[in-house]
Amino acid sequence: MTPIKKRSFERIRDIVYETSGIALTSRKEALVSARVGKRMRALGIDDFEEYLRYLEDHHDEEIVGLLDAVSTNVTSFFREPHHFDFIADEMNAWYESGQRRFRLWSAACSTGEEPLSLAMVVKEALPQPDVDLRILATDICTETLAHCELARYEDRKVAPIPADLRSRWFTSTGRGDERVWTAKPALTDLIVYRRMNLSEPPFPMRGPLDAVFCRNVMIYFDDAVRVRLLAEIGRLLKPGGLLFVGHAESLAGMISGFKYVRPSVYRKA
Amino acid sequence: MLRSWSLAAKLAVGFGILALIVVIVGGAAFIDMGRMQSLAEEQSGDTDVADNVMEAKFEVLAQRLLLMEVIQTSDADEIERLGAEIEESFTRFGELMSDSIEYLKVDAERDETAKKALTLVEDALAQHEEFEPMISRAVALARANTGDKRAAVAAELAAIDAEADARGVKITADMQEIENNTDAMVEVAAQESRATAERGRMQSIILLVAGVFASILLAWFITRSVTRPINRVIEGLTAGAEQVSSASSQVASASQQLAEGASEQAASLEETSSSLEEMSGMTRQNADNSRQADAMAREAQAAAGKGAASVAEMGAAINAIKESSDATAKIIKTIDEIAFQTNLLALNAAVEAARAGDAGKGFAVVAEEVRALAQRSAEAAKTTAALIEQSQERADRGVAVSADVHAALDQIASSVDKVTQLVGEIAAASEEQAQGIDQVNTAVAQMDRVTQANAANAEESASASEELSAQARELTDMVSVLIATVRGERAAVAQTRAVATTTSGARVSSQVHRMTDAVRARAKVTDPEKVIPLDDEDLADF
Ligand SMILES: C[S@@+](CC[C@H](N)C(=O)[O-])C[C@H]1O[C@@H](n2cnc3c(N)ncnc32)[C@H](O)[C@@H]1O
Repeated sequence: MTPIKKRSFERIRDIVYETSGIALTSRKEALVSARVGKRMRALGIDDFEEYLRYLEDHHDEEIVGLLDAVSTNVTSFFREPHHFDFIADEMNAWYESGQRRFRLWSAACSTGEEPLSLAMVVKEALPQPDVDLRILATDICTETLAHCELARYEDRKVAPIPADLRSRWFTSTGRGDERVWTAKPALTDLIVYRRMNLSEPPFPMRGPLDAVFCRNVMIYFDDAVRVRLLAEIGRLLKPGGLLFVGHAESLAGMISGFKYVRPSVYRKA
Repeated sequence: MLRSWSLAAKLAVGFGILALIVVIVGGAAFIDMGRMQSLAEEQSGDTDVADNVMEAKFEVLAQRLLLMEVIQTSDADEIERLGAEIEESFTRFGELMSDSIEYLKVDAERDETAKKALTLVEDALAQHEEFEPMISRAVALARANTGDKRAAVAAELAAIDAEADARGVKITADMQEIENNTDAMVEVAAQESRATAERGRMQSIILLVAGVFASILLAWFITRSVTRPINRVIEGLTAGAEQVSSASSQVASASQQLAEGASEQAASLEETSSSLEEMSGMTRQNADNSRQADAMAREAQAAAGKGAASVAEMGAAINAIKESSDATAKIIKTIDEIAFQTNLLALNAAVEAARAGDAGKGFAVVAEEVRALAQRSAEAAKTTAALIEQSQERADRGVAVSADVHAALDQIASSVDKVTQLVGEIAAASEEQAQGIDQVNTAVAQMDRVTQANAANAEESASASEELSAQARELTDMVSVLIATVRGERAAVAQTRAVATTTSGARVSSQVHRMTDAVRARAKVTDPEKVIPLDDEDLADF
């Protein structure tokens, strides 16, 4: 494969930013070269210029492939665990005060670990039959969404799930390292998956939502996109609703409408 | 040298050499077989010659017998018949001999015995050439002199017969020798063919053994020259896979640490920036307050100045009061003297009234009144004098106090001056502090950006490391395929285990592989609506 030219890189960077809000700095040239290169191998193209021509000719189909390739999908079950403790307590309090309908949103769900963790935690906290719980899980990446639909995970991926929860909410097949775990319908039936681009609000939901998990995705955006996204989340959250962001993400300077609760947790004013 | 050859060249040369060996072994056998065949042919040819010669010998014998019969009979018909038989025998003899000559001529070129046989046969033929006319003459003579005429030629016939007999004996003897000779030739050929067969067998065995040995050597050599480098490649690949997988777990742990570091940093940054915000609010307030204090201190200074002036004025006023009290005291003295004089006058009037008696009675009352007034006046003057004295004392004190106040006010003024200066300094410092905090704030914001970029980097390297370890697994798989090809299935299994154990947690999970492959395959033809069969009804719930 021929190495990527600066112009091609800049063109790809612009397209990615325009279509997804993912802001690639000039230092991401190696990353783009590696990830888009993989996509090109799958298509049998070995020149970035040629790929850009292909992208132009097949924009609507290939833009999905490009974004699938460029997005970083790292995630894990119970990532940043105290968020889950916090939401469980909060849900309990809401239930005590008479609320029965709960709508949660995992805004960049990647391969599904986040919405499944959320579903497990909430079902454990509120086992009552009168609880009406639904979780919306969205991502821009179709590949990971396909993974979400399968809800199947390698043995090492489920390691962070406490053993009792795992045996309650998952079934496993195979032995040893070949063991594969599948989420039970009781869990997956709570979750609605959908492809959604966070950089293009407004979103087709009406709200009010009780909590939004928008974690480790704003690190890929620039401030303009972040501010737009936060305003839309503010619109969708109920007063007193919670916003969880990634631990490295601070909303300092753009949290109008939110109150700081603790690091990476905000409450809509 | 062999090392630099390509695999194809090695195989081509190897199998070429094998083919050559096969050609040599087969060719040698082929040549031997040809020789054996020609020997067999020769043997059978020699036997034919021997048979021919023997038959020819019998013909000569027959010819002699027929001649005898010709001589003994005088019947013309009988003679005719015998003559014909003799002619036939001659033809047969000629044919047999010429066949043999023809055969022997070919052989004679390379075979001494054949050559000898040929001369003998030719010799015999030559003798027969002489023998034949004798018999023909006898037959002609007998034919011409049948019946009674026979007696006339009997003697001549007997002579021919005797000569022919002698010749015939010689010829048969010679031919017997030829027979013996050809028999020897047959024997020689048989021996030769046996020897050739033996030699051929030996040769074949030697060549076969050599060929097999050479093939084995070649096979071993080629195998070694092929498997050795492949084994080296396998070792390299195995080590590479191990290294890749350990490097990827290193990258993974590094990125994990990075991520943790980033989130810790982010948390403290968040705290820092919120306390900074508070601090910057406080400094701004400080600056404001100090500005206000500054203004107030300036006002106080002005007020103190004014106070000092007022105190001076007051001192002057008090002095004036004192002077007027002094004046008043003098006046009171005068009043006191006037009262004393009045008292004296009243006494005098009373005395005069008493002297006047009743007529003076009224006057006496008035004088008494006047005296009382004069006494009260003197008293009031006395009290006033005391008061004035007091006033004078107080005024004196007042002057002293106002001097004190003046001094105090002067001190206040200079203190306020100092305060103003200090407050001004404080205000400037707060201003600077506020600016500094603003700078820190921008720095924190920048750090925040860096932290977020770090978090993104950490995730990216985590995903890269995941990819790397997948690659390492694939590499291991390929290595085991190679091992299976080169060393056999069992070795491959063992090797894969060995690699797998060194790459903790990176063991091949074929099922998962298949699964992710399926995901990939699905993703390749992605149409988001197909992947997520969802209508807006589902969303309406949110
Ligand atoms: C690093 S993962 C975070 C997953 C999960 N929220 C967590 O914290 O573990 C980031 C995800 O954001 C998604 N993403 C990136 N840009 C997006 C966009 N513009 N709209 C929606 N999702 C996006 C990527 O596809 C990826 O799956």
